[in-house]
This record gives sequence, structure tokens and C-alpha cells, in this order.
Amino acid sequence: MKKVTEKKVARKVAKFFANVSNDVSNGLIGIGNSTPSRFLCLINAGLLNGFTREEIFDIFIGFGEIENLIMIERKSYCILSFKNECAAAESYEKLNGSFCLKGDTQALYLSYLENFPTNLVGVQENPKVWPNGLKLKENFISEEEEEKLLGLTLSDPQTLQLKHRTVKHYGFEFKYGSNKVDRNPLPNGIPEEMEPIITKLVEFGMARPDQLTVNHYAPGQGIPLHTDTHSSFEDGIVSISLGSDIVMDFMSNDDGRRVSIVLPRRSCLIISQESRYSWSHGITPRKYDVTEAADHGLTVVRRENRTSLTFRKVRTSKCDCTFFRWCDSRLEDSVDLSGKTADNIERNHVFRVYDEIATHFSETRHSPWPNVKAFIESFPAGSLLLDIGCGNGKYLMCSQSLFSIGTDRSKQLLNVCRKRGYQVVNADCRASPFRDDVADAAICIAVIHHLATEDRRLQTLQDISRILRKGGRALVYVWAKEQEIGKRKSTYLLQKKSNASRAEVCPTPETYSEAVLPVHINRTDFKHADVLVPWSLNSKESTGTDTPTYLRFYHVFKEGELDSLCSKISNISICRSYYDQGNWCIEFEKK
Amino acid sequence: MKLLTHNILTSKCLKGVTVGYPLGIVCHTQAKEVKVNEVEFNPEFISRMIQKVDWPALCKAAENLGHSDDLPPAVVDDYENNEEFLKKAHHFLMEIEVINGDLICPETGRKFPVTDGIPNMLANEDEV
Repeated sequence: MKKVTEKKVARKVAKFFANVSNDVSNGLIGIGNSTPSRFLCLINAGLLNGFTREEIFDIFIGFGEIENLIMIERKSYCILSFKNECAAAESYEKLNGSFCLKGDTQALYLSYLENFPTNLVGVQENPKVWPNGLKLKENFISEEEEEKLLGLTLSDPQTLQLKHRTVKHYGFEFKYGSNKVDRNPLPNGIPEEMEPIITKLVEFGMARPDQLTVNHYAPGQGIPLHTDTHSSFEDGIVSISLGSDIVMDFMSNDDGRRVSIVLPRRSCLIISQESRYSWSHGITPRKYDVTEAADHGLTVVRRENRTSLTFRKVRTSKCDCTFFRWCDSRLEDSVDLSGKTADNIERNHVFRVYDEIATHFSETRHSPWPNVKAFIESFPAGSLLLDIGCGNGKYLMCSQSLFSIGTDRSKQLLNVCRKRGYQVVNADCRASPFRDDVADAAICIAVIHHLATEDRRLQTLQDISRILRKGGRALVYVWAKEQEIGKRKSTYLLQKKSNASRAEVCPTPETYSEAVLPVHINRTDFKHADVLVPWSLNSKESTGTDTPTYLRFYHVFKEGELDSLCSKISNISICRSYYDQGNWCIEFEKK
Repeated sequence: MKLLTHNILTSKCLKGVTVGYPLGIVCHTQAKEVKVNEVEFNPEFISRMIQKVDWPALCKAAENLGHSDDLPPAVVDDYENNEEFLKKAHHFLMEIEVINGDLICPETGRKFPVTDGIPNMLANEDEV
């Protein structure tokens, strides 16, 4: 090592030493020493700055036998001891100040310690709390059974070579592309030899499985964290380990909590309830597992070839779990809501949001859409126009020769209208407070897609037909699910606003008692009909990342849906139906 | 809220209310709560509007506001050519505005507040 570099390293060590030396209570005797010993302090690699035991182990395992490695909660250092001093000295020489930490430009810095600290504070990592519904039965099968099963499963030639493991399905095939089970039964059912296992599972009170997946994992192979698709399999997923112990990782989908659990060979793991529906499980690809020994010290287990038998029961009806947020059965459903839930969704994701964003919304909604303007201008002077859901009132003054009254749910948007001198009324679009047969013209632009049920959308259209006089005409616009027609993208898709990406940070669906509402990513195609669309307040005063994002509820209309809704109203006839810049539009006349 | 707007409004949105028309108007301190804004007179526009206006309801509204004296009790014949009548109609329909007060449902007595010129016609959950 050159002299200059040595000095630099010394300076760095001194700097980190300043941090570490405050932890005298941890008994770090001799910190800052360069007198060799078996004991090393990794000054800038610890749990606090994101290092796992495995990563530290990985760095040092090549130098000799590790006696102990202590990671300390909320500390950015850790302590390691080798069986002999030579290994420690060699690692010190090779790594100190020159080994680059993972993906980092920062080098690792080391210091010898006089001895291994005995009074470490806060060494205990979080006690392992298993996810609910996870059960492990050790010695589920005997060694003879294990041998027999391994012989059976390994001799089967027709296995599928996946990128990181080999797989064979019996009973039904799981399709990795669609993440769903293929409901056409395979010619080969679960082998008869599995019957003793199945009998035991049924004795445990489990439903009889009809699908078996055999996975072979070589050392260094694994399976990414995943939650078995709810709609494909019933509750209760069984994993039997053959040939080698393995550490399986579990992660809560809700809050990211992680727990690693050792699955001994010949054990049976039952993943059910919460652990099945709202946790993910997987196996990190590596060649060894770091596990806790009986005395809480560190042990390292080298992996061997492992075969896992996964028994599952294919689900024949929709998933009935209560973990809606992670349930694909619920996501696919067209949402069918009770009035109460619809009220809640509209209150939280329409009325409140518009009251919050009224000013910013109004600033961005100034130019009338040409086809709407043309409709309004087609009426003679002295006509009465009712604008149901008028927003900031951009259509209320399109024509000076009409008398226009707007209604809206949002008081704040009406205040904007009022300042402009427009006639407005705070009202619900489903029951406008107007006389029957009074309006010559009515418009309802970008309104009924905010209503949470079809009934409510229909009610609004029926009420519009009620307030129209005979021969009066209405124009209705709704947001289209199809944002690209004949390869032509709507302006919504084409707009690349500078703030567009910022609104896309919260893809977490919202859960109501009867529905999951996925969050739409702005400027992309709609994947669902009932979605939450982010609105990012981008006022010039607000800075940086704390720009609040609001979620507005939308039911986006499929082609023909608005027409079929209108066809349910007997006293109107449709004048024209068209697509206009990402919206489905209908003009109708009262008969 | 112009009286022309008031002339269109009903409380039919309430459960059990069949007509809900016309809505009574209560303003407590007239001077502050009723405003008169000058609006350009357009005889053609007013003539067309008169066809829609429920005249007795307009008279009642004017009476509620204590302005009824100079409003003719009925639409006169040949009003299109009666400028004096049209101007009076114009004044009542277009220029008088209720800023703060209450609208009263004639069937249930339910009050709908008018605040800063905006009537709040939202019904509570148990009223629909």
C-alpha cells in the first residue's frame, strides 16, 4: 500500500473511530489499534447501514474459520472474530480501506480489538415473530420415506428447467407466465407413492390436495419472494423439504416485516391464513445459510441439494379470503358495491378531493372542449342551460345569450364559480333540485364517471332526462377505458407533464369492505374499470417531494357502455354517440 | 342567487316531497342579504325567459323579499311588446340577488341555507 493511501485510510479510520468510541459501554477495547489480534471491528458496516450477517460473512469467509460475528441493533458497525490471528491479519491487510462495499464507492474500514467484547448492549435482534397461520412439523417423514421419495422424484425425467431450479407438476400445471393454475387436469395425477403423506395431511384436518409441484434446488439456487395466487389455490399450502435444510424467507406484503425460518429436512411446513394470503415467501439464492445455533451464537450451514414437495388444492370458486388488498379474485371483479360503500368512496375520493384541489384544478381547467362549446352554441338566445357537475364553471359563460345554472357537490369549486359571477347551486347530480321539464339544454361533462355504482350513474342520467323539456337536448361526457382508438393515442396519454411521474408514487390499492380499488398510473392505459387516479398538487409554492397526492375515484367507461346505460331510459332518444379525445360522449333528446 | 334561478329550484330531492315548489325565501336583515346588481336589459332574452317562468312563484318570492308592490300579479297579454313590463320582469328575474338567507321547502319546512349567493340543496343521508 502506498504511503499516501495509508495516511488516507488512517484518517478515515480515525473519523469512524470517533463514532464508535462513544460506545465504550459496548466494551470495544483497543479500538483504533493496529496491533493484530483475532478480533476485528468493521467500523462502517453494520445493521444500521443495511448490512446483513450473510453479506459480512460473504466478505470474510474466504480468510479462515469465523468464530463469531455479532451484529448490533441500530449500529453501523459489527464485530467479528476469527479462530486464529493469521486469518484476521490477512483479511485486515487485504480489505482495510480498499474493499468496496456493495454498490458503494465507500471502502470498508477495520480495526483490531484487544478482545471480544463481553458486555455488548442491544445485541439481541428482534425476536422472531412468525406470521399467523404458519406451522412447521419437524420429522414429518422418516429417513426411509425421504430416501424413497427422493428416488421417485429425481428419477422422473420430464422436469422443467427453470432459470434457477427444476420443476415438475402433477395433477394440474401452474403456469408461470400468467401466474395461474391451468384448470385442465394433467394426464399424470399425484403419484400413488405420495398417498401416505396425503393421508397424514388429511389427518391434520387439511383438504385433500389435488396438485403437487416438485422443485429441485441445487446449492446457490432459490425462488423469488411470492404469494401463491389467491384465485388458483385454496388456503393451506404444504411444503415438504427433502435432502437438505433450507432457510425460507417470509415478508409481510402489508408492512415489509421479514422473518427467516429454518426448514429442516424431512419437515412439513403449512402456510395458511395470513401467512398464505398476505405474506410472501421465497428462498434467497446462496450457497450457505447463516442460522442461529441453540446457544444463540452464529452457525453457518452449507446448502445441499434440496427437493421440495409442494401440495396444493386447486380452487374451484372465487377466493373468499379477507385479505382483499392482495386478492386477485377481488381485483378482477367488476366492483359491485352497496350504497354505503359507494357513499364512502365518493365522499373520500371525489367530494373531499375536489374541495382540496379546487384552486389547482380550476387553474388547469380553463379552455372549454370544442365539441361541448359547439353544443352549447347550438341553442337559441334565451334558452335555459343546466350544467350538472359544473366544476369551475368553464361552460357557464360559453354563451352570453343563454341563462345558465351550474350544480356541483364541491363547495370550493362553486366558490370559484361564484367569484366569476355565475349562478350555481350546491347539489347532488343524482337528484338535481330543479323543476321537471324545464331545461332546453343540459350538459354533464366528466361527472358520472365519479359515481361508484351503475345504479347511481343511471339515476343521474334519468334525472337529467327529467329536468329536460320535451325536445330539450343533453350532452354527456365520460372518461373512456380505451385511451387509444385505432392506434391513435388520446391527448391524456400523450401529455407528458413534468409532474406526471411524481403522481405515480403510490400504487397501493385502497381497500373498502367490499372492494379493492387499484391506483391507476397516470398517462398509461386503464387496466381496471374502477380505479383511483392520482392528482398531484403542483403549486409553485410547494417544494420537492412533499407535494400532496390525492386519489380520485373513476369508473372508466368501456366502448358501448354509455349507450347501453342511456338505452335504459325510456323517454329519450340518442342523437349521436361518439369518441372525443379519450371520452365516450352521447347527445340525447327528450321525447 | 337570482330570482330566475330561484324560480327553477325545487326541494324534490328530499324523500317524500312530491312537488317542493315554490321554495319560500327568508332573509333576516334585508339590507345586507339582498343585493341589486344592474344587468344589461335584453328584451328578446327576457321574453323567452318569461315563457319558462312560473309567474305566481316569482310574485311570492318578491313578496318574501318585501318587493312585491311594483310587480304585476300576472303576465300581461302581448308582453313581448310591453317594454315597461319586460323591464320590471328583467329587474326581478335578473337583478335582485339573494346573498344570505334560507330557502324553505313548502311541504316539510326544511331549510336550505343560501350562503354567499350559493343555495345549499344537498340532502342529508337520511333525507334521500
